[in-house]
Amino acid sequence: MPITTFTSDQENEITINISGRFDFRLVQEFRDAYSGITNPDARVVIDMHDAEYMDSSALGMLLNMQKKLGMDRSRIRIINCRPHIKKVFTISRFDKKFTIE
Amino acid sequence: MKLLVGTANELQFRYYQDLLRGSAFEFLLAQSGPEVLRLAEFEQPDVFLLDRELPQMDGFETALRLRTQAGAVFTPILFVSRDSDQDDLARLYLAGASDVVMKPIDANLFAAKVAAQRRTRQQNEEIQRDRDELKLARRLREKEGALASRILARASGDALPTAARLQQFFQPMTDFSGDLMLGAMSPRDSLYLLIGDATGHGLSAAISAMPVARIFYAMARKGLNIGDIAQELNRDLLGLLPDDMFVAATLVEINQQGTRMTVWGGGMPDIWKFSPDGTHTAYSSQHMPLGTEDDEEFERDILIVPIEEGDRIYFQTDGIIEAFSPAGELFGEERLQTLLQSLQDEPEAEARFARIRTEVASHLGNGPQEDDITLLELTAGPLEVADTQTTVSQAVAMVPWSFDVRMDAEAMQRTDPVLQLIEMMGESPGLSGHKDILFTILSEMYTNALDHGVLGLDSRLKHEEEGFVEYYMEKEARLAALTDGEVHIHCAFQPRGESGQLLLRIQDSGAGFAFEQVLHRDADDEQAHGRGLALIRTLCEHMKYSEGGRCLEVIYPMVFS
Repeated sequence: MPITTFTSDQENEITINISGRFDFRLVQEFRDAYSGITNPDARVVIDMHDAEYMDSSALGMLLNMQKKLGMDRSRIRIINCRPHIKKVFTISRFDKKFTIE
Repeated sequence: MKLLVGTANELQFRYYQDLLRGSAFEFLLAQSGPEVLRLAEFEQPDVFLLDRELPQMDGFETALRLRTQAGAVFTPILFVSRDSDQDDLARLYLAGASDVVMKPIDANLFAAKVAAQRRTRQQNEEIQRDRDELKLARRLREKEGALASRILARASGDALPTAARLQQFFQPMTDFSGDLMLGAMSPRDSLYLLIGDATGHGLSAAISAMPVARIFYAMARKGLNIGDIAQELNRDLLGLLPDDMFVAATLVEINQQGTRMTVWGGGMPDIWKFSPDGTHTAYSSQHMPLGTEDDEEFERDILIVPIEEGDRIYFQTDGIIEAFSPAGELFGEERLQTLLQSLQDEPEAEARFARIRTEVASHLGNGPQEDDITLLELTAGPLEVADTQTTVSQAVAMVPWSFDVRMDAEAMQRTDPVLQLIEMMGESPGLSGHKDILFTILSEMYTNALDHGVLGLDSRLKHEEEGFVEYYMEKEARLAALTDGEVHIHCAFQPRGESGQLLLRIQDSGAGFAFEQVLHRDADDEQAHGRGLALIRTLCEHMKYSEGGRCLEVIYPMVFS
């Protein structure tokens, strides 16, 4: 599965693991991963550890998620990015909208 | 303990035994000089008790011979003499007597003297044992030392390359050097140097220096970035060395043209540059020594120093500047700097270094050298291009190539070619490290050509989250229904020495679009679409639309690593 979701014990941190290519093929699956989040205090972690490639459709999907959940920068963290993926985020100024680690 | 009694008189022998009852000696009797010598050889007695007069060979002669045939351990000889003549006594001692008992025998004195000789013998044995152990230990150490020295020499490699531009003063304090001076040529003919100083000196320092050489050679020969090499070394040493040990080091890359020096310096004395116009510049280490910082805290920042032909650059460990004279005076930076400055008019490198050696030796005087000494001089200028196997194979391997892929409707329905094309290109030498960025570029290009060109989809659908999904559903539907249409992908790789470029061109059979407008539109931060072109523009050197927006060409530049 390219996307797996994990909810912490307190149910306020949801980790979404992306693996392989992060592009439009994952649009529905990615949407399903976050659409169940209703807890207003929830935080989301996007773990890019196993994501090898990414294109701009993934950027769109992330922005959509942010809009849908109405979360600010501090509540969505994108972690474990490979250098080039981080570069793509930086070029697209995503560090203003997400916490990128 | 064996006591050999040399006396012609058996009664006398019994008498001695009687006097020494309870002394735990095993008593041996020899009734003539030659018999004493024979028994001595077989029985290895611990103490001799000899009569002054003996048949066939008197006491003097016997003692003299005993001394010459004696083993490694000194054996005390106690004489029993009737004669109290001083000269005669002196002769006895000269012949090898340890003590003399006078007749008539005083029982107490006799027992005490024998006991004293016995103690002497025991002490001698202990000394001999210690000496044997020491000898063995020394032999072992020498053997291990020779082995270690051989391994270390092999690990730290051979002579420095491009010797013509390098002059060195390398003088370890012992057989083992805690200082390191390594050099290697990279595949792009740049020169890599490492001048290092491991904590302490001698074998322990040399051992901590060992992994440094291995990693340095492996990475320098691949031409990797010196910041990366430094980080790898740091990581390795951090795991290997105890907390109080580390390796101060300067890593340097000099480009083949000899115009640029890239430096990572950690905990080392300044690098000095003397220019032909008389100016002198110092460059300090900016970092902590290798093996001290956690990987996350490690700083890979490098210093780039422009250099010109004729500049002389000096790298050193603290061996010279921290050398003390016998009077306790430091050599010091200033003295070395002044010395080097004064040597700049000397055209012969050998002569310059002969002077430096002399100055250092005269400063040290009779005193000991207390640390390893390393001073390396590099005269800037174009480096010899090594005619090595690696250069050749690299050049042969880096062939230019190009290929074309035509995706017709059926092919586009069946598969997305981007990943496969990236994997194919990644097989080419020089490109494997660029696969991830190339994926992003090619994926943007192909998606645009397919979505907006062939399928005629409108990005505006993607304004809303729902639209986003709708967009991709629409894409799937249109793609499934596609009967004609084509995307033509052209990839061309052109290596040029240490860098190269990849040209990517994608043409589609669609209606084209008003690319001028799109190109001049800034990506809206809030929009979930419209970022692809901005990405491509940032990642590529050149980006050009033609054929009414149906053809997009980009050039991706790369430096090989």
